[in-house]
Amino acid sequence: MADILRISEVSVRFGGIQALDHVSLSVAPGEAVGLVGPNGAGKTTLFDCISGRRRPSGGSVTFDGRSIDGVPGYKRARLGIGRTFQRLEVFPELTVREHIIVAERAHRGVGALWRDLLNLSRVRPEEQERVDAILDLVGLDHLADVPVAALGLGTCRLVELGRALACEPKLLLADEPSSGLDHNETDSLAMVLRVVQRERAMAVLLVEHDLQMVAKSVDRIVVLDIGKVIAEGRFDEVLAQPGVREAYLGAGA
Amino acid sequence: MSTLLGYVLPGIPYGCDFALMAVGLVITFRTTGVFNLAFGAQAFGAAFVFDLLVRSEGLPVWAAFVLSVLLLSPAVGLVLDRFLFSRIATTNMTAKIVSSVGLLIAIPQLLPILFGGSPRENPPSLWLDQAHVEFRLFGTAVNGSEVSTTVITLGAVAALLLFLRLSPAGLEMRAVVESRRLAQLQGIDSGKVAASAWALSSVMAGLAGVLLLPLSNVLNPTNPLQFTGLLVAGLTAAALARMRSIGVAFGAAIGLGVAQEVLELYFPNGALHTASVNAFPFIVLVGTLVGSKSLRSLGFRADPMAGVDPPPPPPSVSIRDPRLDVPMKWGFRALIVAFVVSGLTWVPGYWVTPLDAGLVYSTIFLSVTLITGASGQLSLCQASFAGVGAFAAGQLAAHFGLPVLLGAVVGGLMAAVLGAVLALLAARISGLILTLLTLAFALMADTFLFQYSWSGGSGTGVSVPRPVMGSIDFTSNRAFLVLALVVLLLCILLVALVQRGTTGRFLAAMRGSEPGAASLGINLLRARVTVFAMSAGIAGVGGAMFGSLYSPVSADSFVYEISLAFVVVVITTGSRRIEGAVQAGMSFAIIQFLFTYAPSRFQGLTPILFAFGALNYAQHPEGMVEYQKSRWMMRVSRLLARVDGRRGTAPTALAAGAAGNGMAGGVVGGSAPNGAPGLAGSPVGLSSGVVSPRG
Amino acid sequence: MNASYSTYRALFDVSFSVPAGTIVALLGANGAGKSTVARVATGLVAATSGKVLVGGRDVTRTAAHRIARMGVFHVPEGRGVFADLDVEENLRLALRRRVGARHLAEAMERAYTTFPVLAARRHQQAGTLSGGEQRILSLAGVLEAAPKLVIADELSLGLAPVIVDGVYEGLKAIHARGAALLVVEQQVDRALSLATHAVLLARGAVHWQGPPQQARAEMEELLAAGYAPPV
Repeated sequence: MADILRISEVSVRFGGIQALDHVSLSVAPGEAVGLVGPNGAGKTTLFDCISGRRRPSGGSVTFDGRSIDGVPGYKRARLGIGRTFQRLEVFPELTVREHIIVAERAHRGVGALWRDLLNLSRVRPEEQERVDAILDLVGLDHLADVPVAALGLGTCRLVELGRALACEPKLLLADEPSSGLDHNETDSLAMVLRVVQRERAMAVLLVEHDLQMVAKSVDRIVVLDIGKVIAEGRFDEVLAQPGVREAYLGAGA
Repeated sequence: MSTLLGYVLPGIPYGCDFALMAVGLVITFRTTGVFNLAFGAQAFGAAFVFDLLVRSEGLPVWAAFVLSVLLLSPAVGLVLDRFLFSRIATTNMTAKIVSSVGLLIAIPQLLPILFGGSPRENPPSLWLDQAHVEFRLFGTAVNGSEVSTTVITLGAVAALLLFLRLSPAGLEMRAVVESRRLAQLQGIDSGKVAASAWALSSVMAGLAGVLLLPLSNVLNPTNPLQFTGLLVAGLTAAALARMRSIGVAFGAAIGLGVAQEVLELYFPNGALHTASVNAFPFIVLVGTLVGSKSLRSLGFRADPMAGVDPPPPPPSVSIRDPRLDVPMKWGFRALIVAFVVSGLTWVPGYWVTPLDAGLVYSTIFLSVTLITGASGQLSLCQASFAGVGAFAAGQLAAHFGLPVLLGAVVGGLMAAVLGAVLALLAARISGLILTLLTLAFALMADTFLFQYSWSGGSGTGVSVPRPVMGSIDFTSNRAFLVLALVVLLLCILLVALVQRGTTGRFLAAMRGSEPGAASLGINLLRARVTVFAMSAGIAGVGGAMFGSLYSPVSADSFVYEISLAFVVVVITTGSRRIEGAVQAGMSFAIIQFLFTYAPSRFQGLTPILFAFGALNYAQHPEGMVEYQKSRWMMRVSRLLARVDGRRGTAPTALAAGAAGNGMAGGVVGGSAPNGAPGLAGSPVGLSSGVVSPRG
Repeated sequence: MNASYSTYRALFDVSFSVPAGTIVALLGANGAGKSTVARVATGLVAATSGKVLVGGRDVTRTAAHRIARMGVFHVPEGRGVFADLDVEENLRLALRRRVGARHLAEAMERAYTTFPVLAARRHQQAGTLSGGEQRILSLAGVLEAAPKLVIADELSLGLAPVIVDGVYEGLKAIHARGAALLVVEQQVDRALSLATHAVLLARGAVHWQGPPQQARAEMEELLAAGYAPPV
């Protein structure tokens, strides 16, 4: 089966630091891959290259069988690359429901100005159904009409997830979804993620420090250290490798 | 050759004047982190005081210089730092620029109030006399003021360069701008350093002002427009220096001065002259703003210690109890009816014009609501768009006999196209640089686009007739009231549809987080072009109405300060909501009218009133009036909730929010340990919804 | 010691001490509150309750720059130098107030001799230095200033092991001159190879403290419980 995402030899340099050094990896459709590694290993930079926020200095990214180098970020989103952020990027003034509606409409391309001017931009029943389904999925139905500014961090992470899911991505990039969450929150987030991935056959690339969450959520992990892939394979096998433990627990031993 | 030299040489003192401004902007930016648009205003203030001391108080020139430049100016700088800029040190670029715009408006208007408003002719020179020819160079006479300007400028710039390069204080200032926190870790008292940077920058402004005095033959406190050309050249040189290098700023300024003189040589007169000589600085300025890669990331250098600051407070969320909706809706409708009936009947004639003006201003201000409130971009050229609308309507009526209302629509469309072009030019830039681009456009319209007989009409201005539709004649002010109201309501409808519709939500998303919006597939550029075009269009239509009300209108009605005043007024009342624009428009017109009863020196108080509101922008980005309103709404809601509590029914909106908040914790296990009370609760790590959260 | 960011509480009753001349390793997972401890100690973040004592003096309410002048140095996480200034200016800034204008030149020469890599880049903007060089630049400023206590926050972050070796050499040199160190670190072994005492933070509270030899085992246990590190 063709890979949904193939990254080949991507490199990024900034400020005298080689953030990514000829990184290659691929994700099959419907597969969940964990991307782990110490802080500063280049995980978020790699995400930025995939979602189009940063242009790599070398290498190429192929999504769903076509090269997406040079495709602007918003078009990549329309192709089916969804994303959540390590530092929250929610829209404080919108309610939870509005987040989903915005995502839904951006995805379906119904944001034309003339619709607004003819007052055609009310929420239609079938749209309402889809929005409710998403809210239900991420467990935010009871908070639908609360402005996101009034919500806690954990809830905001769910809002970001729901918003990304409303775009029906073929690939979801989840950047440290558990950071700042406590144990229970992390568990429920991992569960939602796993359920959605299986039900929708959506590929997931997960950056995460909480190895427990990674273990629960992915089929395979890739270890990144100082901009390079140093190992990949099944979770327990990879973690047993001495090189990986070293990169994590320090090279001093 | 010697002819060329004859033009190059006089270019140098001009260049020096530009250099003072440019270097001042760069230094202020580097030592305080603020792009101080009010630098010119500060210079003007110091020059004014200097002149006053010399001629009214009879002080010797050196004493006046010490008092005005070395004592008063730094004192003003310290006050500005203490009460304004130190409070917004860690906020975004937009807050800083709004504050400096507020100052730019307030300072020149304060002067006539303090010292009287009569123009003063032939202001004194600091050192050598202008009338006296000092020496001849290659056959060109060099007068005293040229010598003194050049020498003092060179000396001041060299001293500043040495100070910043070599003295520990200069080093500390640069460090504090980059990161207050990191500087503190090195044992530097960041607050003190920032204060002295403001004092220094103000001395620089004072020096610039006093040196520039002989340049203008008349020092007119009520019309400090003399500084416009200076502002353009200063901006250009500062932009060419990427707001960093003092040397480049200086060189670029001299180059601009010389280039302007040389252009005079090659295009001594005619259309080419105006086009080339006047357009030249703008072409360079716009080219630099749009093209420079390093300007694009200006002010975006992340403070390495940014994570230390607690998350910014959440934006005040709409907190109206839904049960108030119906009474307020009907109240609003009743108000409109009462307004029209009163305007048509019992209101005395001389009060009708300000009411007309209020409606027209409200229309124009709606454009600010759209662009600043909805999309979070700060545009400083809305009055220019209004001018485009007014002149188009007038010219089309005069030359093609087009009905005025149709002309207004065409004018609005023309402004919209201009707005779209501006937004496309700004495709890759945002924040401060975009704001500067709009300012450049305003200055360009001001200094030459509106100066042609085919645009702003030279001299007499353009007359925009009052519309006549069949048997309905809007010539009388009372009839015009109805027309202005209809136009305003149509524009309100337009803005409301956009705000409530998908576009509005996309814009709100963009304002909240650009990366977040892009990750959903929202085309940020398209959204921005749309909102710029619509906003410009509304301003254009409003401008045509303005022209029709006050016909004839000339370029003077749409100068760049008017644009600044517009933005400041709307931001003060509240740029987020439609009623903010209407309140701003009505109160602006009415207060202005009331001040016609006051002595003439107090005429400038209207903008000052609003300018002080803008200075609070950093604390209350939603606007002062809006802030007060939401406080009252909170009170009413609480009162309603208490009444409900006594009756035993469930309080609706507020309680639902509070309960929701509680549940938010419950679902995922108590994410905010201290709990956040009510809807105004505090999120953790949220970027605030201020105009530009990225700044 | 308690600390909080507005309503978000980051630390819960954290207490420990750094005796003069010792090296304490502060370990813990991402978000455990390590950096917050460091920031509270140097006055960047105000503690909501509790006390911070430096050399017996209560500095809980003292401004950060005053604490810095008392000889407490904080080498912050990430970029700890001024990117817009060059190497020389960064050093001057770090040293002038601490060694006095008169000894500034000598101190800077010593710094350049100790770290030749800096001498080679004297007039290069610090922002264009590599991560490791930036870290060394921070440390060079500290080393020559005769500090009493140095708080080093995540020095190894994002650096290749070889570079980290160099950075840790710098830390050892600082300790050799008599300063106490508080080493905040995610690379457990690194920190432990140096430390005389270890403090383990988890979720904003002290989970364990004791001799470094046992810290490794405690850490493994936390890892197994899902709290721990990698990072």
